[in-house]
Amino acid sequence: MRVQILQENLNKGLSTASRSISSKAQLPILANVLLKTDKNRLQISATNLETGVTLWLGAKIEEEGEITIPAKILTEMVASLPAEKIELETKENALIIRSQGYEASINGISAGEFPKLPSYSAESLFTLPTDKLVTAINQVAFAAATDEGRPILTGVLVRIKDKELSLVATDGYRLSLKTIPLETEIKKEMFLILPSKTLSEVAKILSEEKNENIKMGFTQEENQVVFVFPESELFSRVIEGEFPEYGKIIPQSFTTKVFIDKDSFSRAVRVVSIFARDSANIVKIKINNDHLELSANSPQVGENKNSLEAKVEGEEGEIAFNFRFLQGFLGAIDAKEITMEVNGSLNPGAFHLVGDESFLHIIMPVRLQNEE
Amino acid sequence: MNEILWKNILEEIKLSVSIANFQTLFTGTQLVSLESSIATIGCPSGYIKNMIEDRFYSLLKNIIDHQTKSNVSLVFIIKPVPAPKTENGPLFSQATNDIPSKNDHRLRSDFTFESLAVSGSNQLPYAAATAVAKKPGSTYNPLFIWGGVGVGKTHLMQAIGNEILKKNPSIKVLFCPGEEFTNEIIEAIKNKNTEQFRKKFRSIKVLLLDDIQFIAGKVTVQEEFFHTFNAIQRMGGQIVMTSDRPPEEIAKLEERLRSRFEAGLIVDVPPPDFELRTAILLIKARQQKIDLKMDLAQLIAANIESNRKMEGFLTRMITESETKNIPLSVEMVNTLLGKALAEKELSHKAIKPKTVIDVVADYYHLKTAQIKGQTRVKEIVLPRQVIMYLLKIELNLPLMEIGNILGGRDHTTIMHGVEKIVNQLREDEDLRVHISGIKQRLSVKVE
Repeated sequence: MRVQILQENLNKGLSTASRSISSKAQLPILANVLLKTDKNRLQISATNLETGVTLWLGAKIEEEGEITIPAKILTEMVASLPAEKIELETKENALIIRSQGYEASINGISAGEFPKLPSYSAESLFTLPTDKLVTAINQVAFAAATDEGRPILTGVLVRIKDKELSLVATDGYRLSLKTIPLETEIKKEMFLILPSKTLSEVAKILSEEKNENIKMGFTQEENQVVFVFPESELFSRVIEGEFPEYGKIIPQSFTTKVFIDKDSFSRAVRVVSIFARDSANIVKIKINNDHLELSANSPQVGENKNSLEAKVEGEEGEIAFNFRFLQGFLGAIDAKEITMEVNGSLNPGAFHLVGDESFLHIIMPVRLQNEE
Repeated sequence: MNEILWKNILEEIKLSVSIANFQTLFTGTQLVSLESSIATIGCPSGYIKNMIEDRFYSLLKNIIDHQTKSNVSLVFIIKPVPAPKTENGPLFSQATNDIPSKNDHRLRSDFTFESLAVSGSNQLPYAAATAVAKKPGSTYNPLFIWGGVGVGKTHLMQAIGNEILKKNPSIKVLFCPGEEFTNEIIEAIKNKNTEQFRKKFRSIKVLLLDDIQFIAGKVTVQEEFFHTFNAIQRMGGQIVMTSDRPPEEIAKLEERLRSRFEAGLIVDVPPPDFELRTAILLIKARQQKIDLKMDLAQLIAANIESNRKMEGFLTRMITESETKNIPLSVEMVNTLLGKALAEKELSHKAIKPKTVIDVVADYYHLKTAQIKGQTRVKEIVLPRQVIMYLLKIELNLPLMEIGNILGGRDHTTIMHGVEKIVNQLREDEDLRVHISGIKQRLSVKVE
């Protein structure tokens, strides 16, 4: 294989591909990226056996061929090179990299060892609305669990029905739900649990490349979904199992509804969290008739109280949250004003964005000790 | 069985491959089945399936052959081991002991748009209702639906609620009959907890108020409703009301309320036409899991004009057919038509056979004597039969008596005449119009 390619292109391709490589890959071949000429483009593939990505870069192909190279070394190496033309050449099982005075040779493994890339049928694909999908993923995926002990909760439920796509994620303490309309009707109803990492990667690829269109497909036999972008493909397994029945826990009523300015609320939470860190992350929110009072205290640090203007409807009350959940939620949304609906201090609080019915976030409160 | 076997096989594989290979490739595998020398092996993903198939086929085969002491062929499929059920966390455990009662919106789940029959006559109200359900609070607010008894106002209104809930189960929807609304206010005033009442109603996103005319003439109720109305609308909530007459005809309704009602969209639901009635009947029959033939449905729809009566007739007919164990047929419909309805039809007691004859004669511009006479001209025979039909079906008079009233005719003649009209109604649109016109005049006479 002999290929000439621009450093920027190769660098971008490699950094995308290497995100799909597990840092704890036990098999050497899985720590490698596959470089391969494909007509007049350079194809890069990487996988951790659960998800896999293939992307194509514009390049000048002088001689066809393929090889796999340790991703980490190659990515670091290419990132350090000047923004010039790079020449890649295989010599037996090594890759020689040349660029304006630099030359390196990295040992690789034959491409035959690399796992076979999955395939999909083009008919099963359907188009998704790019911008809305990115927003939805960003508003939902963060709420998924990270510990592998509860595999189902590490996934995001993707529900496609009629002309709507809903994403739901929960880690058992909070839940995020967002529904977006689809432009085309999908005939088959789908309930898929996809790893939240896969969806975050989809959002990342979409926001890196502006104006990309995206298609999605699901094959039952392969238990696999594929996201197809103009210049890359992302495969992912589907998590097998039963997603918790989230419909049941969506609060149906509330006794207090609070309208809050999002930015001031974020700031207040941030300040008060400095004091909450040492006391189990608990932030107390007291709801008075025209303002909220956020407070936290820890024996070592001291205590802190700040009040925040808010429009309050309904009963006054008090509720406490883990500030990490509040911050997670506030960091994921883009809104001017939000509402918080509370139904006593022990029931989950529901958060909405003013003017956006399609999003819902629920957080389980922390039980207050000093309450009778 | 398979599990133990697979465990043994895995132990043996462990001896032959590197730890890295074993952990990455074999940990999520399972033996799906072992039947007639074919072992089906499930792999968690396509990548893993390909890798095992490519590299370890012969190793795996040897080990399985050895373990089962037979010669098996291997088939690989993708079948991940389902994730074990784990604790879902406090958010879900609290929900189980505190499930909010689903029914507090008080909607009937079978009143949906899907179960609603739409034809030309109720096209407009249907379109308005679906538009509201699509964008509650913004399209037509308030939506005021009015129409006579049993035309489907409540169905339409509840369908809006059900549709909204289907899209967003968390939205607060409340269906409330006007009378109940009144009672709750009175109750609240009596118990001095109007505050609670206000909170309950003013936090609602979609308020469906049935039979709003009930609040007319009640000063405090109207006052409270006025504020509730404003509060909900200010919060972007949707209000839908039904009434048996348009706002301008509701007497003793405060001017400020009337003007508010008129600010939204007012639609009327006209009585169902023949086609719609047939469709409704078929839907009702399907709901009761009855296979109602088209010709029967048409026959019933042609002879009964109100939806509720049709429903009642259907029930009656089904019971009859089940208890007597006879199939639904045209004859059966014919015999039941008079019986089932007569008791409740119009205010018959007030209608005298003579009135019927007078009205029909007048309608066809004939003289009573002509009708009672012996002439067999077509122009007179039909009105005569219409009278027979009305006297039989509406007034449920005995055939003999009808015969006597109509100038001493034989009861078989009457029977023939009634049957002729019943059947003709099914095909003859003109006749349907005439009969309904005559019934109209009759009911005016009675009032």
